[in-house]
Formats: sequence, C-alpha cells, structure tokens
Amino acid sequence: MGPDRAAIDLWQAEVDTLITRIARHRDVSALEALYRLTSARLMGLTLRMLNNQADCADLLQELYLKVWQQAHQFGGRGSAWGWLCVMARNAALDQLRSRQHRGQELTRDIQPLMETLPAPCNDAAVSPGLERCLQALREEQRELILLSYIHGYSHQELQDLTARPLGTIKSWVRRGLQELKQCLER
Amino acid sequence: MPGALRYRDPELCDQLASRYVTARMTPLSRRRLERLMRQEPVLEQAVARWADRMAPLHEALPAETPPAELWPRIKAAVQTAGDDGISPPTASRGPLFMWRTIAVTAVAAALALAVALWAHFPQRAETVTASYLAPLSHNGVVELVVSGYPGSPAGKAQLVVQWSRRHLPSDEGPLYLWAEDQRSQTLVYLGTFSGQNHHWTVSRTQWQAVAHSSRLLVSPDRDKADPATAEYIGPCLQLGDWQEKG
Repeated sequence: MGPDRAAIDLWQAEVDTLITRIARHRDVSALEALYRLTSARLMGLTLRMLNNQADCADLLQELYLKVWQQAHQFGGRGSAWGWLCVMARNAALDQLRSRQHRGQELTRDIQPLMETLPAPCNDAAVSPGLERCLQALREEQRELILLSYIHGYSHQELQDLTARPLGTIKSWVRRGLQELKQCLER
Repeated sequence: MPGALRYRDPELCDQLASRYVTARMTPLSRRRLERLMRQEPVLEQAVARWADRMAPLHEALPAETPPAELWPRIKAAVQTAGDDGISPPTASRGPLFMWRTIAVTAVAAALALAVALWAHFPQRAETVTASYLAPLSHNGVVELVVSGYPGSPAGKAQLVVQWSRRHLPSDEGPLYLWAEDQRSQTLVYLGTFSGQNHHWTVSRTQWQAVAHSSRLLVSPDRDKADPATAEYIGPCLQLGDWQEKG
C-alpha cells in the first residue's frame, strides 16, 4: 500500500470518528471539523453533476444539516465517507430531476476524468484498486459507468448521448459493474 | 422467495445495492430501498460495500472549495434546527417503547396534517364534500392525500389524489392504490395514478372497500401490495356524514 492510500485511510478514519462524535455528543465543533475535511470533495462531487456553484452550496448546506440530524442513522457497516457520497449523490440527483433541463451540454468525453485518476499499473499491491479495475473494463462499459456515476447521467441521457438502444446501455452498465466488483474482489 | 425475505438473498441485495449506489433507480425505488435497508442488515451491508467500492473515485477527482460563507450558513442552520428531528436510540428504554412512541407520534402527526391539508387543499368546485380522507405518508411525512367523494347519482363516487407541494415532478411511473379491509386485512385494488394530481370514478365494490377500510396504501406493482413494503400508507379518516352508497 502506498503512502497516498495510507493517508486516505487515515482521512477516512477521521471522518468516521467525527460522524460518531456528532451522533453521540451533538458536538458542533465535530461537524465543523467534518465540514473542513469533506466539503471540498463533496463540492467537487456535486459540481460535476449539477454544474452550478450556488445550487451545490445550497445542497451542501442541506446535506450537513441532514448529517447533524441523522448521524445516528449511520450504521457503521461501511465507511462514513461512502455514506456521505451516497447522500450527496442522491441529493444532487433529486435536484437534477426537479430541473426542467440539465443546464449544461451532455459530455461524452471521459478522458479528463481518466487523466485525473492515478495511473494504474498491473501490480495490484501498489495500484489503487478501483482505477486499475476501471481500466480493465471494455471502453464502452467504462464510459457508461463513469458518465452515470460521476456526472449522474440517467439511462435516457446515456441513450441520447451514445445513440445505443436502452437495453444495450442497461446491460453494459450492469455487466460492467459486475466485472468491476469481481476485479476488486480478486 | 416470498415478500420481504427476498431482501435477505445476498445476490439480489448486491444487485439492488449496485443500482442504488450508482443511481440507476427511480426516486420511488430509491426511497423504498432506503426503507428496506433499515429493516434488512444484509441489504444495508451490500449498499455499504458498493458505496465503499465506488467512493475512491471521488477521492481521486478534483476537489472544489465551497464559498467562504457556506460554513457560517450551515452553523446558523444547525443552531436554528437544534435537536429537531433527532431521535438517537436510547439504551434505557427498549425498542417496544421506541416503536410505540413513533407510532403514536406518527398517527397524531398524520391526523393533524390531514386536517391541515384538508383545510388548505383546494376543494372541488361542486358543493359535494369529501366523505373520506386518507393522508398517505412515507417515512412519517405526508406526501399525498386521497379524498373520497360519494357518488351522485349512485355509482359515480370519485377518488381524488393530491400530492403535497414538496413532491418532485415524477418520473416514477404508475402507482397503484389499495384499500385494506379493517377486519380481514384483505387488499382491494382501487385504481392507478402517477406523480400528478388525479381523480377517477370507482365502482360500487371499490367504494364499499374504501368504506370498510382501515387504511389505504400505494404500491408500485399492479399485481400485489403489502403494507410492510408500501410506498405510501395512511389511515382512513371518516369526515362528516358517512355514506357507503357509491
């Protein structure tokens, strides 16, 4: 495991601890520390979906208020960071669906995303798992998974973008995620 | 595998969890899964695993600094909210107490909301008043109200669905309304609607089912409904003079 992974693990452990402090002690300073640790990443996550700073700021305000009120619902079965990501994505998706239109052009270019990810290598011991396994997918599967997961594109939007049949898109995404899972469990 | 037991099947849970985490679900299905997660540890675990599988992507992609005024806004909102809506588990009182408290609170809130909603929802132009009102909620929040208007002439009774203003424009597909008999708990299908306000005429048999129901519920399936997994559910309220004739 490289130092970056170790740093991320420490960072995630800190996020877990803060959520627990919020749930047990109603500690506003813990919420502030959580905000300092996670808000920029969550802002990036939501901005890639909503493409609007003001909307994202409003969304984050609601999200941290929800964390304050629902921290006790975090069951500790996975990481608190994963829990936060799911909540942020769901809130962004709700906002996308309540808009009449997305407010930005659909983009099919995943290259900037892929370039941002750490370069994978074949050595599973040193290469970050998800990036390595994404690279191992067929190009179409990787494209669809990244566009739906990172930008929040619906199946319909993916169909508009790729001009592929809806059934094909669903099938590729489903199979791609299964292959991703198998690769990560190796 | 029958009913809720399906959600203890690890393979099914894994498929559902992958769809949930990668947002390949309608809002309705997502809310249903969130409710099921609280009941089924296998499903909750599967969702946590998928969330952790995908989260590293967000660690790797660029962060964006939020506006400087955001934290003060959040802090103010937290201080205003106080402990509202927080119900951390208490060790000194058992789960039975918690559920009783939740049930009593939910019924009281539903009744209060029903009266408030009935008073504020626009009434039909005719002088006919609703005989029957059901506030249907999801996670304790009333999302829609079903009103029953007696038929005049007989056989023209109507059900009216009105969504709360907070309801998002729907891409959820059709929903199906059922009445649960207060004695036998059997379910009678009443009709279908979508995310929009809607009204329709019901048969005499369906109106009788409404008259004898203890509660109404909404399912996403035409062929089956289950109070334990209903999307929306709520008690029947009898208003004014009750007429069973349709």
